[in-house]
Amino acid sequence: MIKRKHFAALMGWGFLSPAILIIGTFVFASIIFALYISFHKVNLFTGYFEFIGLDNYIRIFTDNRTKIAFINTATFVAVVVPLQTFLAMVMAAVLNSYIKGKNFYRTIFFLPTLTSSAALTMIFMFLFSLTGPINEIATKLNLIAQPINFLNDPKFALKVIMSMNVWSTVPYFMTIYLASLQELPSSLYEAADVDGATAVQKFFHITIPYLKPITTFVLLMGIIGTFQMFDQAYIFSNGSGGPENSTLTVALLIYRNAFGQNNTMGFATAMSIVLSIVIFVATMVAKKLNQSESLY
Amino acid sequence: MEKRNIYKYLLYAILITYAVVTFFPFLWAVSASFKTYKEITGGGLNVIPKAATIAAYIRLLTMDSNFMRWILNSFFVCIVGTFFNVIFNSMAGYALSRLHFKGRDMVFYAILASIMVPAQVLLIPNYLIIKYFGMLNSFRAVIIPVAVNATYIFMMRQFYINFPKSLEEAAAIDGLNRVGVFFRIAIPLAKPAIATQSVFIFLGLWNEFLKPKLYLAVPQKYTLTVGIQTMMSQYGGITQWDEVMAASVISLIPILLLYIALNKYFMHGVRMDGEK
Amino acid sequence: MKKFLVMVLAVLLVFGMLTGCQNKAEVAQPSASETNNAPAANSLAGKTLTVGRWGGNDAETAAFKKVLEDFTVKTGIKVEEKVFADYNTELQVALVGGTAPDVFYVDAYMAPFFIEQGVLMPLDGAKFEIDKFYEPLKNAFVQDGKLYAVSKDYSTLALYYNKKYVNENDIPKTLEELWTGNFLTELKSKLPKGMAAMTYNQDLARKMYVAQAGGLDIVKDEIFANLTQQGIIDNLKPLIEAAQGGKIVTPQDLGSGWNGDAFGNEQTAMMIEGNWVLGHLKNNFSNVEFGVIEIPTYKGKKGSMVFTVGYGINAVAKEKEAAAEFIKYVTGPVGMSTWTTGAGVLPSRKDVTDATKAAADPLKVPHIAAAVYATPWQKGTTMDTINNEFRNYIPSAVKKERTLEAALKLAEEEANKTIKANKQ
Repeated sequence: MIKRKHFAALMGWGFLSPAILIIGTFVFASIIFALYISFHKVNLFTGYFEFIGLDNYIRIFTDNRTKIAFINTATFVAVVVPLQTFLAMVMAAVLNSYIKGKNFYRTIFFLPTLTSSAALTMIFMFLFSLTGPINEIATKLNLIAQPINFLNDPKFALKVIMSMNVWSTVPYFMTIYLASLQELPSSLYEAADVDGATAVQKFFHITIPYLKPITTFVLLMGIIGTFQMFDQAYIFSNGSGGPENSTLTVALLIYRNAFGQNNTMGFATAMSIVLSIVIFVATMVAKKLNQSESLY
Repeated sequence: MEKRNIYKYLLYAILITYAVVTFFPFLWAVSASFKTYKEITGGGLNVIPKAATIAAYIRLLTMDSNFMRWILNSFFVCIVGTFFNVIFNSMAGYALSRLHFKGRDMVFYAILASIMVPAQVLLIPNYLIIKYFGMLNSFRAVIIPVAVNATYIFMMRQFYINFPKSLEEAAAIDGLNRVGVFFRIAIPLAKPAIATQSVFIFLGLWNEFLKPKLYLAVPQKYTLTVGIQTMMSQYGGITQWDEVMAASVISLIPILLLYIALNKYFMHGVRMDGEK
Repeated sequence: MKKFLVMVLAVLLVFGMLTGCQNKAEVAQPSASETNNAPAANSLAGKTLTVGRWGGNDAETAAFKKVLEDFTVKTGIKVEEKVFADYNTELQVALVGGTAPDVFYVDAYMAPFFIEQGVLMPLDGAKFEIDKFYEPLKNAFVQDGKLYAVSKDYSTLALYYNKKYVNENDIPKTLEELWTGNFLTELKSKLPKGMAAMTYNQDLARKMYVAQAGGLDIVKDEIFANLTQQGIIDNLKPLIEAAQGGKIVTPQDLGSGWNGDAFGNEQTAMMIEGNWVLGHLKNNFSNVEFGVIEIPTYKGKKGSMVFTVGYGINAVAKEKEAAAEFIKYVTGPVGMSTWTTGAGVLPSRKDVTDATKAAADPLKVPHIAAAVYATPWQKGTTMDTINNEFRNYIPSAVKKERTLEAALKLAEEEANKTIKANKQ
């Protein structure tokens, strides 16, 4: 028995060693360096380091723009993550049911993952422009009286990015759900069929509980990805985070402080560390919630 | 029977609506690669180009004498990178879920934490590390640091959690040692997960831009994405949309091929409870 | 277990391959530079220089290569190119990593930042005949009396109009009249449905000369935003009122990425753009017939913006002398002629402008004329922050959710808060 236990440890560390070696060297070393920078006022070009303690961190909590960025980002996460998780799960379940042309649909649904974000942003900017199809359809259907300037209105800009993000991430998570559903023993469904369960009942009582570990993955990756959202906000606002800071995300603010004219790398790294902690807490909460039975 | 039909129609309605919503922008992007710049920016939603042209493709393919080289580089980096990833990530994911030993959870959270720090501030430290190891301007720089991927370690862990214990135990009794169990049972059983992982890792490596661009200095070493982006980029300037669209079509071809090649693994996982 | 061993072997093999690749590359480089026994009797002959630039269109790339070849033939100095795709990030990372090229493009807008960071080597202006350059282009790279880069070419803003819809003589002669008068409203009524009379940008890069008209300055105490000075508010007012009244719209309002596309697709009849749009219109919208004139005067004076890029030398360059030699050639009469005629850009030197007959092209004349009076797009190291806040709050003034005064006040406050915190 003891031998077996030792073997498990040996094998465990052995199996993990490539991961530990690589992530340790290339990621953790970088994180430690970033951590070091975050307590300094730095000029990396000249190698100037001045220890300033927690000043960079204090600034995060006193800076109004940082607050706005964190609020925007949190809103973004709160809307996008549940939506993308739910849609991905439903679409995967639908695809996994007995329908004709499964393969065809699955391939089609996968395609957005392959569309470059530059192309995607262009399409969405056009769709939502003042004279674009969405405004045209909405005015024709009398849903709105006046065309809405979605892209230049602080009330809508972030929502457009949200819809874009959901659109492009659902297929990714759906594919992963679908892979897991392949391993769901079909005897479970057959037993439910015998009991006369409806498709919806089966979805709630078999599919969702079975997918729980995958849902943890989807939720956590969703949270990490949305908290770090950068590309789409950058392209969309041309780097400004406007109008009126409505598309200013934390990652965008970090980038602007790390590169460009500001040279406030210390502040950028401090913000990154705080963002990582926020992400860590959020993911642990999500993990807990997903594991408690009360949710279902 | 009535009720069943309603479900069925509902199902197809969802499927078709979603297919249209997802497929349309994709189709538009593909069709845009055959349009003139004027037509793309003119704002038409038409999918059939008014005057189809392959001018953008020709410009792309002839813009640099290294183009074929870039394709080969991309394939080399992506194939080798995906190969390492699939093995290393699966091994790590398996260890984190099926093997019990002290310190396991700590390693898991550390791996998870490694993807929580925004990449923007790690860019310079990463660069300095790569430089320190003398890997600048070599393919090692764009393969070794990404030879494992925390995201997919996590994904494999979640998949392996779902595996029933019984099969593994039965096999162990049969005399296979645990390392053997991993390669002969755990890997084949996880085919759908591994296929999924392969496609996404390949896709990620194929589209990787900034880091390879920083690490690879000479054009002969560029990957296709780096090469095309570099040729197309014009500082503060003009995005030549027809070329952007053509480039995105070119770069999705290998992934689509891979996806189709792995198709059978996506849908036909080996059932674990012994049934077909 | 056997399978596992095979795997490990395979892994080792591939690692070996990768290492092999690297070694070959390392061996290849020195041998390449040693073979050079250049014909020129120059002490620098045989040296290899790296030059960092960003990509351009086909004509620009071809012209650049031609200049490099000519330079190597003349001096025997070899040049390796480094093309940046993401200039700001890539150059800054390379500078920190100590791997930046010997010579690189310096955007005038970023120049104050690079100078402040000490990454550029001061240059001897006389060596580069700096007095033959247009004044604003020379000054863009001068700080505390020292020159840090030499302008390679430039662009200025001018007014473009679609000949099908607009008669040049009808265009108002002053911006005041253009923005407050009836010309644009009347023009719009004659245009096809959905077509705008004129597009504009909500960006200080295009508006600084308007804001500063009459000798004002949008920056005070060297770094702080000065947007709420009454004169500056008054300067911007006619423009914002024109936008409020819908006389001018942004290209994004039309579903277009920028002025050039909106103009090319005949979604707008007029725009104020830089000369980079000339090649764009020729290549992508050859059917549009257009004319170019200087921007109408504002407050009785001609105004425009000028954008320029220069060559600077890395302060820690290995080949400083060769680098200076390179800049001397590419910004000299011969190099600049080859570059500007080939790439279709405007020469920064007056003598090259004359020699290449750049002014023979009527479409370029208004742009060249502006070189003398245009405001360089550059303002210390805090312009990024100021412009960012400007872009943030101007839309609310255009939508009349706020007065212009209130929007500018907010922008100024936010910008100055950030600037103050950054400088601490």
